[in-house]
Amino acid sequence: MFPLALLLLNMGCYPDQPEYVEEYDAVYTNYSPDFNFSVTYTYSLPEQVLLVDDKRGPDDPPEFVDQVYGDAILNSIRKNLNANNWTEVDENADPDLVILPSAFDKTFLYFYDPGYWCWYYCYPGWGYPGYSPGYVSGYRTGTVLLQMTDPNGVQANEVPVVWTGSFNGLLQGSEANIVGRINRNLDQAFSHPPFDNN
Amino acid sequence: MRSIYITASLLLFFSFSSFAQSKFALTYSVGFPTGETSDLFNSTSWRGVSLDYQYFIEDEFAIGFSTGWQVFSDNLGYVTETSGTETISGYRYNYLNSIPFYATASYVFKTTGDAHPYATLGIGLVYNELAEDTGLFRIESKGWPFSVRPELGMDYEIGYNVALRGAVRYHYVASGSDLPSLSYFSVNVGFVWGN
Repeated sequence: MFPLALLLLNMGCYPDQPEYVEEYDAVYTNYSPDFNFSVTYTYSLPEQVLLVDDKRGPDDPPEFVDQVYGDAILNSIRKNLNANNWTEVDENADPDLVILPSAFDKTFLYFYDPGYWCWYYCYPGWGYPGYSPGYVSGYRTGTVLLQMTDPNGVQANEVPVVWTGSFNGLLQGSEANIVGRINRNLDQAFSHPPFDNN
Repeated sequence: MRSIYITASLLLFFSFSSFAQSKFALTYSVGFPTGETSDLFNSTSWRGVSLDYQYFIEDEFAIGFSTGWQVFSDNLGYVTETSGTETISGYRYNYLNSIPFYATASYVFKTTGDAHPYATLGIGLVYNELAEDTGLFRIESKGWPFSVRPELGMDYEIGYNVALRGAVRYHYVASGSDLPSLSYFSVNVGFVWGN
């Protein structure tokens, strides 16, 4: 029985771990309960996805995600919002909502410096009306974070973030695998409430 | 200093146990989730071990100590959960590591053959560590809830002071410390030896 006991001990506390990299992906969304998501809006998207790097100085030029991944993120956002009959417009055409997609590859909080966005959309701070966004952290992970802001609801120099969506996973796999996971996970994010009722 | 304590404890333990009959049991434990445990785990736990000590005050009555380790794990597949305005989706893996510590009282029914049925009641605490993984995110809860464990079993003598043991146990575990009531049945088989 002693060898059996030792074998059991060696099996460890957490057997049957996930086998595939996709099984480590997680999608998280949160939204303002006070914002009406049941009507259609115009929205704007930047042309690139911001790469957030905590080593970047405030005066450094912005960095962006590799184009193949950035295009996958932007196209997936467009596809899902357009499927809700929302309309993409230029950022100078007074959009109802401005979508801010970003990505980072290390431990990072949601509440990163809004100054990152001044190349496209400059506000001193974000506000999260009626809800508290969680935080993402990890090791050797990648995170895509989408923030949907309402420029018409600015109060006290804070722009309301009415919806956040993120997905987090391991930075492993081929380019096609990662693009496929971006598409699947963003589709999943837009199937969560409040978009699931539209 | 630590080795002195260990040596003294072992000397005390063996000298104490040499004055009266005592038994040790090492058993393999298979766990079956019940109640709120079955809400988190659909699968049988095939990973478990139990270590028991019984000191006989009388021929039929023993007091003792019991500990062990039972590991439940389950792959619940792709799960989407919504709480208020928050929703999370991902592959869900749940894990429970349960390590009980019981003071026990046993009654051994009088028999003439080699088979000795018994009933044991254990009362104590369980160290429970529950992990719910969604992707790379883990929600972990730990605690020391109160637990009661009734047990029915039988020892079958196969040699001098050596027996086989089979037992059925119900581990009632109270809720608390952010943990639900994580109760389960177990079937234990193993060896008993004593003096």
